[in-house]
Amino acid sequence: MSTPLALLAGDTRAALVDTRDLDVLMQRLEQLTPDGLATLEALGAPFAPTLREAAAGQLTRELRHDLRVSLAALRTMADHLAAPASSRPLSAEALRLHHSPVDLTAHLRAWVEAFRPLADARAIALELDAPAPRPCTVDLGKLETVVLNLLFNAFKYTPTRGRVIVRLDAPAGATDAVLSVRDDGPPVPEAEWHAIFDRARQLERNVFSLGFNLGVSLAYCQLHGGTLELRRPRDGGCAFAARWSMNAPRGISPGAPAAVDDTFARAVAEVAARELEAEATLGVCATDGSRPTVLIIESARALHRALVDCLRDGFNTLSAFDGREGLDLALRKRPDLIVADTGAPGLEGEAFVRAVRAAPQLENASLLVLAAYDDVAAVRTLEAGANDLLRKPFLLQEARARITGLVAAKRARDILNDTLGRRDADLIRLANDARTQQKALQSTLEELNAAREVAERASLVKSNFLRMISHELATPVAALQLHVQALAKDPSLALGGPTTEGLRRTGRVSRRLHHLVDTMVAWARVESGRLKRTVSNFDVATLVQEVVEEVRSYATEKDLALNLQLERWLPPLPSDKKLVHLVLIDLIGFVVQNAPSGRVDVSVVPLRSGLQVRVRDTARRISAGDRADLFSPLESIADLRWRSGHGSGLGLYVVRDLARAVAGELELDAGFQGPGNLFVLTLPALPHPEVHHERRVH
Amino acid sequence: MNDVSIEPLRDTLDEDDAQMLKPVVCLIEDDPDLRAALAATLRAAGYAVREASDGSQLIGNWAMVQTDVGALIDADLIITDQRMPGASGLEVLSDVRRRDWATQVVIISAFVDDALKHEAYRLGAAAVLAKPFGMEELIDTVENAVPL
Repeated sequence: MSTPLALLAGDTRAALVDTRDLDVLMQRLEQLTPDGLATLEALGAPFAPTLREAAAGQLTRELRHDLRVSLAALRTMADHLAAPASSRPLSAEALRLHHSPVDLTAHLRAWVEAFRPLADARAIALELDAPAPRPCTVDLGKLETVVLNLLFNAFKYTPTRGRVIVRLDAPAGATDAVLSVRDDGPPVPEAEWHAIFDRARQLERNVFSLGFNLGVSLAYCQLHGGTLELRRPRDGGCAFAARWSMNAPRGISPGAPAAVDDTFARAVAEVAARELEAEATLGVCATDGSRPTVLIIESARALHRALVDCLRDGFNTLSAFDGREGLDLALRKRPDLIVADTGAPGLEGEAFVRAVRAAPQLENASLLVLAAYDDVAAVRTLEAGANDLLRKPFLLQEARARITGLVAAKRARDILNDTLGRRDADLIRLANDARTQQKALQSTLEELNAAREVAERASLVKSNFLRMISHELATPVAALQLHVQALAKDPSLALGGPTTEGLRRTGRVSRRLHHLVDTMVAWARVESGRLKRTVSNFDVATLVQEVVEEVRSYATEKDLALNLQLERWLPPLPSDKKLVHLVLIDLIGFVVQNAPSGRVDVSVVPLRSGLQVRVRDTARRISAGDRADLFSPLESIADLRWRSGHGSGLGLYVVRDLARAVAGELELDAGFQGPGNLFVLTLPALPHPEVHHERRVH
Repeated sequence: MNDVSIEPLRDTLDEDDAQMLKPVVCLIEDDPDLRAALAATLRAAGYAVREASDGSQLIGNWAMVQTDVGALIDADLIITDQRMPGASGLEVLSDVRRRDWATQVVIISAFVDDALKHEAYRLGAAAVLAKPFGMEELIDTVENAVPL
């Protein structure tokens, strides 16, 4: 590698006690692209004088110091220029050093004071321990970033009524200054010590579009030949120590001094205040039932808040800060997904996962475990039943993507469990069973279709039989009736006493048979859809009178009073006369047959279009349950045989079907006060002339 | 000389005695025409018939019911239709058996199957007769139950 800087750097090897920075620098030079090299040349030019002098030979203590600082800075620059983009290296601009003379104490005081309001608001004791004015030559911007970063973190983690102590150690004559910021907050877990300096770690806060990131602060210290370290104080709390060289290496011409300015510091303090406020209200968001719910169990508040923020769009979140609290919340709220940090106190790692999986209410919840990347025991959480494991540090996009996936899988399980009526967490098994069930349903559907065809055919056979037999019966009944009527008229028969009585009864019985056959034929036609109505204008009053007279002998036999009441004027009814006659006979006959005593009143009243025939008895009131059975075509033969009936005789559904065949209706009036029961037959006027085929009635 | 005529032995019972000796049939049938036909047939065959139309009126009231030919309770045979609006034939039969009477009961029904026959005979019916039946079948059944 033959860039001037490279050669120069190489030449200083002999002057060095510790060649690490130089070795790494030389390595990086090999890795850099020509562009990268050129950038490094430009950025590193200020250090050339130091290198030249050191290579030349005579080393003083100061020169040695300057060399160390220069090589540290160059190495840092080369590290960033050679680093892959995924590790988020600093840009060339960010790497460029702008030295200027600075009174460190004054600036430090201003920056610390910017946090005073926040400290007061949280009753935090904020102390600054700094020496008298201390001039130095540093890149002020970068140092400001480092200090504010440390102060910001201190205030984020220090609880109310805690302490933040800032201390600047810069003894006269020392080459380096050490700034320490110490707070009372929880210590950083050991496993995360170096992870927190990872630049890629996504916990940036954007203030004036400058990202706060401990990794960046570390780089800034390194550019000053220093470092940034984490300390664990013996008496608790957390401390960071930043070290840097007080003076720029020789040959660097500093810029103009900058005025003390606390604008940036105040902005940072305000961001901290806002975030603390937001975290204080971390809790249950108003849940929107349509969004999935994620429970986050994470004791580190900044990470917790970051997770809540990244999920806010699309999920409801619940918050808990320790494992036990989290488990209680989960049992109460049944979230879709639980995100649990194995390090959360209360109920740790594997024990927590086992507790979740043991709870029946949570058996379908997905469980994502967060663990430090070197936590080997974390794998056991997967074995204990966690669905996924995410190592810290992680990118929030990755966390969100995994959370989305796990919630989707859980929702899929929910749907399948619902469909199959099960409670199962195994998605593959559920999916297979759903497929099996679907096939079973398919074949059941085919069987049902086949069964329906069989049933339809059987129904057709029965309909045909009904038609056939009712027609066959009509003939002998007709013959019988005629013979009886002839006998009744025959003068040669010695009529008297029993014979007359016998003939009368025979006549009555054969007429009843006739009506039954007529009803059968009509109903068979209605049922098979072959009814043809013949509409004509006829006088219903006369028809009702005829029917009442025909039925009267039955009533008289039973000491039943049978009354007919007609309106003075009734319009003629355009309808099918034969069918209406049949309906009247069947209805009035039914009521008379079933009334044991008392009376039956028949009345006919006109409607706006058509007529209403009302038949009322004084028998026992038909109960609501019996009412349904009365009109049911499904009363079983067993009932016919065993029980005393709600009336023998035709099921009223037959009469109702015939009424409907003339567009009428037969009902038992449920609101009738009694005593007894009221049957209401409505007969509308049919349009005529009309020739049409009736639809199936039922 | 005076002829002494000795009255010949009567070899026929007179009307009233004959009447008193005939078994009494209690007929429970709600259909008036069938009831009339059954009664006429039985009377023609020599039975005294007492008619009732509603079994439910009889159950528990046997002693109370009088017909114009005597108390219903004294019948030797009960012929009852199975399906009637009040009590069914089997209910009548049950009641009779409950009272430990020796009265024979014949059940007539339009739907006679094994289950009905089983139940009727279990309750001690003398016979189950399927409608429609003719005169001869009716008389034969009655004579088997209660011979003249």
